[in-house]
Amino acid sequence: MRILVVEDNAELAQWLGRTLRAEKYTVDCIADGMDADFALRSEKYNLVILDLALPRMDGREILRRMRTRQDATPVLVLTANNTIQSRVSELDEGADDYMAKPFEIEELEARIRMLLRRSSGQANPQLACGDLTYNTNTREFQVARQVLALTPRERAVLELLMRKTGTTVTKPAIAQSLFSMDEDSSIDAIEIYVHRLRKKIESSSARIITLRGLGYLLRQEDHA
Amino acid sequence: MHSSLQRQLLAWVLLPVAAAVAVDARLTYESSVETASIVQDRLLLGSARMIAQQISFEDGTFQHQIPPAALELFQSELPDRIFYRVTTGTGQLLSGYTDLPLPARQSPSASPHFFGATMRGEPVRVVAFFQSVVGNPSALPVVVEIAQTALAHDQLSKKLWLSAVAQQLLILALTTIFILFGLHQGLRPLIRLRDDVRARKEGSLQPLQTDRIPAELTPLVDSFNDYIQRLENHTNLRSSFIQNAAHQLRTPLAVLNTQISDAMRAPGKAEAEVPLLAARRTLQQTTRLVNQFLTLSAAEAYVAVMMPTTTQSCCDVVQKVLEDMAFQAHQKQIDLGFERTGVDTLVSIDPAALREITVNLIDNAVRYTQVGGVVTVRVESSAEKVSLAVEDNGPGVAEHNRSRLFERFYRAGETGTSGSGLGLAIVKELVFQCAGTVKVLAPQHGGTGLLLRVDFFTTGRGPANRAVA
Repeated sequence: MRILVVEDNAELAQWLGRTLRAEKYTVDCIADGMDADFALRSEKYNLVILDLALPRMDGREILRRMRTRQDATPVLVLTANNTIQSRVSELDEGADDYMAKPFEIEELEARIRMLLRRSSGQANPQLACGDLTYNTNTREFQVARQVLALTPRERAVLELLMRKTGTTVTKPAIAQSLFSMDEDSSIDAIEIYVHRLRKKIESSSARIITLRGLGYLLRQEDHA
Repeated sequence: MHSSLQRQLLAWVLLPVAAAVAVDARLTYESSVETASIVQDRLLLGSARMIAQQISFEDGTFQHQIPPAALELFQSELPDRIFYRVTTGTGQLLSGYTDLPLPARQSPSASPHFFGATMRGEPVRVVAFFQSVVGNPSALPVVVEIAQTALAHDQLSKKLWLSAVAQQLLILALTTIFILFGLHQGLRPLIRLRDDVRARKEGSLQPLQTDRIPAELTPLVDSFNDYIQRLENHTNLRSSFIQNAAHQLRTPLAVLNTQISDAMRAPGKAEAEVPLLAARRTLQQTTRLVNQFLTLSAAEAYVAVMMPTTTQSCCDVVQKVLEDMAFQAHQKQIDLGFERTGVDTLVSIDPAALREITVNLIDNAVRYTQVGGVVTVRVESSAEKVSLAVEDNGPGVAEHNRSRLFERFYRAGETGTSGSGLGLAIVKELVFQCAGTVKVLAPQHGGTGLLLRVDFFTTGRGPANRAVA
């Protein structure tokens, strides 16, 4: 996998390159907008990490040129401008994802993985939350490559949470998904399933969090 | 209340006019009395002449007769009394009242002679008419005197005066109306300027309109706009300095973060883990501070894009924030909850600002509440507003310090917290931009903790109209 890092801060480019190479990516670093535009015309990359403030050519312009020539290479925009107004605009301008400096390197890596997966044609049937993964073909959950032993009902609950990672799933929605397989699934029973699931995924970096009054959500543990 | 220019002008114009009317009324009174006197005197003289014409000297005596018409002249609805006397030049009474006063001068050249006197306790006007009678042995003429009490005279003068005064009052009233109208017209640019200034949003840096401003006000408006311009430049300069400084800090922070991550991945350096984790925490706090600086300076310059938003949309925004912050609360084992009460309504709000407000309120509550605490976010809606309330059971803030919560860098907790001290300042700025209000209250169900409530009002209500209030 080949990644182009377009970042004019030499130090950040250097360290980003170092970290990403450690993750077995091939990384080119370019500090100048014109050079980056040229490189993108002549070379094929799997992903571009693009800073917006660049010498000679603005990051937005590079992105605009890429999209006008039908270059669909995923672009992850890095910006130091993180204000209320600016958050939305970058995504409108053709970026695939957007991160504000300073960022967590783990978060960046996760997003890179996601973008690469998405651009490779979504052939990968795997969902992930931290090191908890779910193969939608085999319907198997794994933590650190170890298969998780789950009852059908637990699997149904976890699958629903997994598909909606990061957003709230209400108890009635969970009950609905259980209804087809179990006539007796009551709201109280859901709490029991969630309790058991929490224990089973304890060793992973995924967490089931309760939002009182809303429901449950699955989330990856931060390093905070 | 300061004295109104309109009222002052009105007073300065109307008081002199009223004074002039008063002086004129006084003068009119005198001329009315005079006119009444002339009329009375004419009557008296006419009557005296009629009597005098009837006097003749025949057979050695004066023949005389009082013609009824001479007295009927005075007839009116008033009980005026008429006195007469006819005396010879030598003072011999021919007819009439003996006690009628005599004229001061007896000279025929003074004929007719008018004078005032008192008759039987009543003031009377008297005419003495000297009539030479043919055949009269004495050279002295006969004196005919007619007196009338003052009732008719007084009534006439009063009537004349009152009608004159009534006319003047009418003119005064009309003048007042015209002056009021004129003042209103003349002061219109000034009043328009006042309304313009009043309609300004608090903290607005919009210059005032300069068209249709009279020459007298132009320097005032110009210098006002000049100050606004300078203030705006100053604000922009400061804001862009903070933004630039924050931007400049972001890239090195990103480098530092990457370097720490890299170091933590290096194998076999277990003893370095603790300081690296600590460094990372410090870095995160610094990052947050820089972010909050940027958000605050952006919030100061922020112009809210208000749009009608349903309660449900507000709830969606709040719920999204709750999801984003769930992990932060989870780490402190804080029970984070959401409640919604009230009817659906439509408020005017900027969803981006609502998001930022919610983030900061929840972050604040989670940050300052102890491990295992409870934080509840409530969306309460009614016909006139939608409230966002964030309540915690943390240590709370003493009542006298609550107003200070919105000050920049004020930290109620003092020790052990990692807050930037800017979160609630950001909330205050954004709430202000959305024409809402924010209040610090005691928790609903007693106990320690804090309840922060932000109210957003439905269109056309609430303090959005405070400039007019």
